[in-house]
Amino acid sequence: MTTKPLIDKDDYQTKYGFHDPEKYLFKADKGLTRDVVIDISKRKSEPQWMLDFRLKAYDIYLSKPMPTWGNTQLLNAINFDDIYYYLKPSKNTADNWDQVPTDIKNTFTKLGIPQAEQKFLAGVTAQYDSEAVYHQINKELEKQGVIFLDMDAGLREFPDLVREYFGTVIPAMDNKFAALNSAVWSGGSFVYVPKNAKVALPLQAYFRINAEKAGQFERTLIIADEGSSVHYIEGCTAPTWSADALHSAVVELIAKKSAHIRYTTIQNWANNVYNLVTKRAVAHEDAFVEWVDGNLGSKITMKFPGVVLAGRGARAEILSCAFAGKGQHQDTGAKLVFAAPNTSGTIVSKSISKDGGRASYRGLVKVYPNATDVKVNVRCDALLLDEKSRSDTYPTMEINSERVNIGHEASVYKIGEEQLFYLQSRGLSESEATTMIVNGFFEAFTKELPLEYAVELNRLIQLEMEGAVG
Amino acid sequence: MTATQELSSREARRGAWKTFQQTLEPARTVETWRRVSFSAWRMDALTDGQSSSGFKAALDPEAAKLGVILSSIDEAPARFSEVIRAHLSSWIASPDFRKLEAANLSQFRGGAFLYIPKGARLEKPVRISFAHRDAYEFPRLFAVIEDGAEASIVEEHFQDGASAKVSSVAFSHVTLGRGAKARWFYQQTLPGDASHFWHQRAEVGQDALLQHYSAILGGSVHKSELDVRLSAPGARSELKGVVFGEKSQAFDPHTNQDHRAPKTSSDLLYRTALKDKARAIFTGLIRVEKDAKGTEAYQQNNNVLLSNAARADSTPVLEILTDDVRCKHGATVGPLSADERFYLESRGLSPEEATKVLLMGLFDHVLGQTPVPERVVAEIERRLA
Amino acid sequence: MASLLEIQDLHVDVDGKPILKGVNLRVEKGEIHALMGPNGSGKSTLSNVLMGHPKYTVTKGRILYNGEDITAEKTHLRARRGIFLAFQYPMAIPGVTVANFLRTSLKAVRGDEGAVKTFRKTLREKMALLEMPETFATRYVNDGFSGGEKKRLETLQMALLEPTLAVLDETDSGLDIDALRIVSTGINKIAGPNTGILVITHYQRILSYVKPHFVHVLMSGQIVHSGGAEMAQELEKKGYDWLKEEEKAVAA
Repeated sequence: MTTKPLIDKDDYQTKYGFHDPEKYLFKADKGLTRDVVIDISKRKSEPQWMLDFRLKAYDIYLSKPMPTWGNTQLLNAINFDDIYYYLKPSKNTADNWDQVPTDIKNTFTKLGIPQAEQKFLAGVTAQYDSEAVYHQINKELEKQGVIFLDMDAGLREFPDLVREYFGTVIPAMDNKFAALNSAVWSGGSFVYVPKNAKVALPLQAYFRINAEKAGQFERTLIIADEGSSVHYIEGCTAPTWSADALHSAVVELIAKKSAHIRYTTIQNWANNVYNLVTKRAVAHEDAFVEWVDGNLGSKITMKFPGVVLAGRGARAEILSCAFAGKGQHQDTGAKLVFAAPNTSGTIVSKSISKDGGRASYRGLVKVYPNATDVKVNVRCDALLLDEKSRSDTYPTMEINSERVNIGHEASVYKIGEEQLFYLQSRGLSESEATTMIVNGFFEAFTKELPLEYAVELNRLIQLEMEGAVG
Repeated sequence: MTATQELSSREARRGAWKTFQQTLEPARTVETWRRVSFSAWRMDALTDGQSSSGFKAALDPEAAKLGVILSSIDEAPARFSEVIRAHLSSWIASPDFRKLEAANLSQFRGGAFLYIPKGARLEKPVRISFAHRDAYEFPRLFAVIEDGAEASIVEEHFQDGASAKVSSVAFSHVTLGRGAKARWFYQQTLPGDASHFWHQRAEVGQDALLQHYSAILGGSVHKSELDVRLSAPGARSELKGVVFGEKSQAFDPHTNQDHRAPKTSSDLLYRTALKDKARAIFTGLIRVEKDAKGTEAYQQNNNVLLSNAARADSTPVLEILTDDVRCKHGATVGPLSADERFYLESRGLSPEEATKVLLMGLFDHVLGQTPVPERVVAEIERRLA
Repeated sequence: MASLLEIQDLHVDVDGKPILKGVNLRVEKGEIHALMGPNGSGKSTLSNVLMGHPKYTVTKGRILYNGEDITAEKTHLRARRGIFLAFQYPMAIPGVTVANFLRTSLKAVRGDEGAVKTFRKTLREKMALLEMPETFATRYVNDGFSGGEKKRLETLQMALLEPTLAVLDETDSGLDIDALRIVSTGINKIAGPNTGILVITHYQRILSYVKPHFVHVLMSGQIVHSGGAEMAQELEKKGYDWLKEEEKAVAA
């Protein structure tokens, strides 16, 4: 009875730890200046209003100080002048797989990204260092009137629609990194689902940071019109580099009356990436928004998906899981803001810290006076796998309304000796038993994912447990 | 002149006064002072030499026989001069409170010193009452409970016929020796126009137990810091509190369950009820240091809003630096149970009577203790009438 | 020929306190032994020590399995040798389904791919035998299970893993008549010429269903009496105090 490793460590390194020699059509100079912003806009042939938007955001970015909360030590180590803010790898967006440059095709083949026609999932956009390289819309989507484009194309083809919503959920003023993104954004997805259209298959996109010191500033805007429903999946990966890579994205979701948006992220940035993301949704009357957010990897992730419940009867669910390994800080959480009556929300956060990793939960539940009959439940569980690791929980509740039912519960613990013993008595070694308990711990999260993502997440966790990544 | 008298001398006070003048008021952006305004304590108008009324206490003769000392800090017996000197010269508060602490150190008159010797078991509670009278009050309390001693102490803050609004800044320091057991009652029933700041640090020694009960009712603004340090193995604490607000009162209680040694435990239960436009912001920290293996720490904060204009904020925080722990916290905000209310009303109670019964039930973990906090109960009943 | 299980002069401490004070026991293949005793005698300690629970310290003596010294061996390796412990209070493992858990355990203990391939079929058969609904397999291990459901899951695991030594720690406690019947059926099914069974129980009840060849009584950390099956009935009639008297008489 030998124990065969359940996964091949070398395979992972080849699979995710490689990079293509740099072949770029255009690469802006390092550092950010007003001219770089203007240049980005010109190369994309953007309308004047978008250039104005970018420039105003740039000024806001300069005027705002770095945040004084969070892991300020790591944040202040970012050298903003030492980053490339724009890279365009090919001439135009390809309309079918053949038109994609070979290098890039190889990258995606290596990553196992499905070719849309044959696969289960509809419409793949693939982002490669700031520009959408390949995208294809499934015929079904076209028939339904669903728009699914990279953000640049969205702005080009539907300028009025974009203008109506762009920056309405997360204005540049929101925080320094939202301002940065608003100035230099490139790529990301634009999705519009018309009234009552129900998109059956998930829309997915992949992102990749390749060039050394490349910053990723994708911008995603999803509008689900009344009565519609859509599931969007974002999966990330990056090669392992020694220099730092900055990822500062903005995701805005608008769910109109009775619409349903589910946004899933499985993120696995390499350990040198700074991942600072602002994600927020507005849920109107009777709408339902779900954030399913999985965080592994990166040097530091700061991400607090939020929902503003702006219409009566709106609902939100935020499910977040984080794994902080050696040298990592997962600073994640959720925000729920209740601004209308008869609304409800749940937050479930599960985090694991190992090898001195640090997992923090930062949450906000805010209820305004006009939000009566509000029900909220927050549950945070943190599992510490060894004595070097650290867990923090900073949940804030600001309740200004009487007819509410708010509950928050958090627990921190380590794996029980009895649990381990039970599994070991059934033949599992200590590490096998620990991995099984860890997977069980994340089960509430993984069961919400489409199958191949659940499988990938389990594999990544396995590798984290074995210390293969890092 | 004994050391204590020396310390209370003009020299020492002058030093503290200088520090007070040199220390800047904390900015509104400082986390600790974001919720209530520092200006409520009118430190800018404080002049040197303002008096503090001291405290009223009568020591039970039985306790005196056991060797218990209850005197002012100035008049403490000479043999305690060293320990009092150490107490007066150590800054117990964080930089955010330095200015207030300096004000207190320079302006306090008398203060209260309580000493309970080794193994003494007190039958009756020791009452330390701070009657607030002047425009500025600076209560200071220093209690030493030696190894194996057992006692109940009631620390009251109430108003005694003042003519104008009172600004009070109180600092107190309690230590529990090995195996000691102390029940500490902090009761604050100041009038609705007072500004009250109260900072207590409790050091719980090996295998000692601190059962702490807070009843916070008064002031237009109340800010408190209860810092419980479990600094030796086996130290335990139970922290229970009630806050009841009306009109436009604002309450900012902060608690700290600070675990620094292995096999320590703490269990906190604070409940708040607010009517009219009252506001309470509860922040509770559980911090477990690397060496504090085998710690068990729990925190529960329940808030009941009795009107739509009332507001409750709750931020329970966990900072855990070791894995061998069991920590949980929970917070709720909601109305009194509709089912329970229905049951009471179906037995003939009016809605107001039902509210009263339910609230008293909610607060029983503090109000149901002996000695019965009469002032507190009377005030709550008045507000519910 | 070495015995299946041989416990030699076993002394065990918990938190520095001695619980087992020299236990000697031999179980051969094909035998069913019952170990009885009042509460606090050390019965659970013995079963946990057999499985290598880290909380317990062996201060003297040895445990031999098929002649090999396993006193210091890691728990999962003992399981892979074919030792099975049915827990008195089985742990909940939230988020892990019964099916997933069983499949993983089967693979770890039995190793051969063949058993794993036919897993689904085998599982269904064994679950039917133990009168467990199919939905059971998708529930999380022991999470929200009643006492009876927990014991049936322990029995199901035993049925699947087919151990050579099964130690049953108060498996009958908290069971109603039906559950007791089902669990006993499971135990009797794995009993055979190549298996040894050690039933640890406080009451005689289960021994009407699972008939032991030998009955031992553990008191104050030692086996004070060993006899045949009829001893169980004597104990039931006279209670443990009868034995305590006997012990006192012997010591005097």
